[in-house]
Amino acid sequence: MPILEKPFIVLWASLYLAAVLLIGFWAARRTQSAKDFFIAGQRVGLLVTGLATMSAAFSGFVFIGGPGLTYRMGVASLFICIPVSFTAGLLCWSVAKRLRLLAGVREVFTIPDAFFYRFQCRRTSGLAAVAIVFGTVAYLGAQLLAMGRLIEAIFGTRELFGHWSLAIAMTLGLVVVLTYSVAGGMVAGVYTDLFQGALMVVAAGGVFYYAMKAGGGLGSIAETIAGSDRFGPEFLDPLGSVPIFTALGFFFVFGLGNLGQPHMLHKFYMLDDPRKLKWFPLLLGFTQSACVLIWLGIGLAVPALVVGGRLAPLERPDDAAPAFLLNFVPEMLAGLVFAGVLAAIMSSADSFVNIASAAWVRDLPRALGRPIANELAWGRVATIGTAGLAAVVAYFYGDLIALLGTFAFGTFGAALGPALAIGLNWKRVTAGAASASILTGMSLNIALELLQRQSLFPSLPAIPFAPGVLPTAVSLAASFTVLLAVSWWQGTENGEVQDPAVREVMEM
Amino acid sequence: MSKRVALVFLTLASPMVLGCFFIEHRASFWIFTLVSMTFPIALIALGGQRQGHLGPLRAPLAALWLLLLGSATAMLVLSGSGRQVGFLGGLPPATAVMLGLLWLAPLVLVGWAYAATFESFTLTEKDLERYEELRREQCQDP
Repeated sequence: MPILEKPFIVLWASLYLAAVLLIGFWAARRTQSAKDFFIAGQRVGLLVTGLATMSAAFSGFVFIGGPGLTYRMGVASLFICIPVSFTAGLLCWSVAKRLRLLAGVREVFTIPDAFFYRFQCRRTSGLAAVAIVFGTVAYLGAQLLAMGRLIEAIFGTRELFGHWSLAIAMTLGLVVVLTYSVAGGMVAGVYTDLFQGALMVVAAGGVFYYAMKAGGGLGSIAETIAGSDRFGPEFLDPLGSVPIFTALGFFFVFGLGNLGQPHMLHKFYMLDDPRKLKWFPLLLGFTQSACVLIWLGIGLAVPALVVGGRLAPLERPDDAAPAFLLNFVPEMLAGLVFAGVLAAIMSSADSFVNIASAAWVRDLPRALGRPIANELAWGRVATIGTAGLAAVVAYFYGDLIALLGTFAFGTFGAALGPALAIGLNWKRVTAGAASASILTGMSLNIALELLQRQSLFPSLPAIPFAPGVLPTAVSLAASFTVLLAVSWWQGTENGEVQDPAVREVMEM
Repeated sequence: MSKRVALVFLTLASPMVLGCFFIEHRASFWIFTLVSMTFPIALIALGGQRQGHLGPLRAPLAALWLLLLGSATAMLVLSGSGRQVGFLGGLPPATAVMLGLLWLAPLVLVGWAYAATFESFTLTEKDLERYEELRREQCQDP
């Protein structure tokens, strides 16, 4: 196991795990109420909120999956992350200000809470909670599986435990995440996210420098790739290696889908002062862009190194980042980067743990008209239950990390994005329109993914989409269509917001 | 783009995109490109407007729209131009447009526009005073 032969990598990873546990124990003493547990007591500053949002949004997919995807499909894969140029602004203008103000004037801890106060309808908030449960179990499962595989690689558990290795590695990672999430709730979540986010930015910047150095600079890398038979000029063409509907579909889905990601939106509730939103797009946009450098750097350098014979062709595209780190980055920095990847995965995982527990103990019981008395205690129990369920799902669907992650992002985006982005800004949107949109986005996304991948009924005709169309793009567009059509049909221009405080927040 | 224009665009564009997904034709690609680049602007306009108007956001949003749409159009035109490396930082023109104009330029523009118009338009002192009143009313509610 090559990584185990490099002790600094194991050392950095161990130090990192110890540090997040310490933060968890520190945070546990500051968690005394449900408000502390779910939204960190609403006393978190700009830097912490910004970095926590970034690190929750960027999971191990950006650090490991991204360079692998570029190796496989060329620079067209960057359409997934290029929208970070405007998504922070889109989030702030469309939803952040109103969510934060709403959390100040009403007891809003979760995204379904916001749906409830906006639409005064339990069915709508309940449907939002169901979408969150579906998406979260899949998203969290993908994070736990990725975490297990990384721990396996760093600590060499495969040699020690054989076919039990992945289960043991996932359990180890799960125990660390649960320890600080259960003890410290969102207080622990945001402060570990701050630490993890800073680590991710530093690691990405360092790796980009070494990627350009190893390839001989951007010009040399481009010349090498374009001149090779293996990759060719189409590798560097943004629309050269995949259909336009796939490339721009990534842009459409990952640009607009952000509006429905609860692990990001949830962070806005925690900001201690809404005035601090002023600098949020700059902070979020630049830190996300810094992390994208690792995707861009390794994604371009590795094909050039393979063409130049300095790196063996990869067996699996996902090996691009580990292969580069082990062979072309100084061991100290490689250790830091592996810790950064672990950080990226864990910071997303802890956000999902918290959101899912809120959906189980707060949102669903309230939607059913049976609120739970002690949400803090049951929240901790639900945290363990949700993480266990996600781990089991991920373990048994172990070869579908990318499917799980993409499916979850699409479910959140299509189900929650349109109803939030338009519902918080247009009073004509009715509860019926929001419910129909959530149901359409969620069910269509699940159905299209299943239909596209099912093999049990080969006689079922394929859906006649144009080549390269992403099912998630279809469900997102359908969800917007349904929301707007039903609102024009059912609503009245000023009559669909019953709570006067919510109405005032919508006019601010 | 006022609130009403944004809503009309979103209402028409969403089903249009759905239709494009079923038709493999060059026109579908262009429509999808136009809609993909305009959709975020329409949503920002809807969220950023005050009493139906965009005020100081009008110019930066117009610039952002031109930047996104212009970059996408340039990419579609330049794509497939062969081994033209060495245009910007050694990259082919379409890739340079993608990284420079679709990623980095909007990043600066959006961050600056939000910060520059925040106190005067997005969340004014008057808004904050009313918000504090609402908070106090919430605290007094049994």
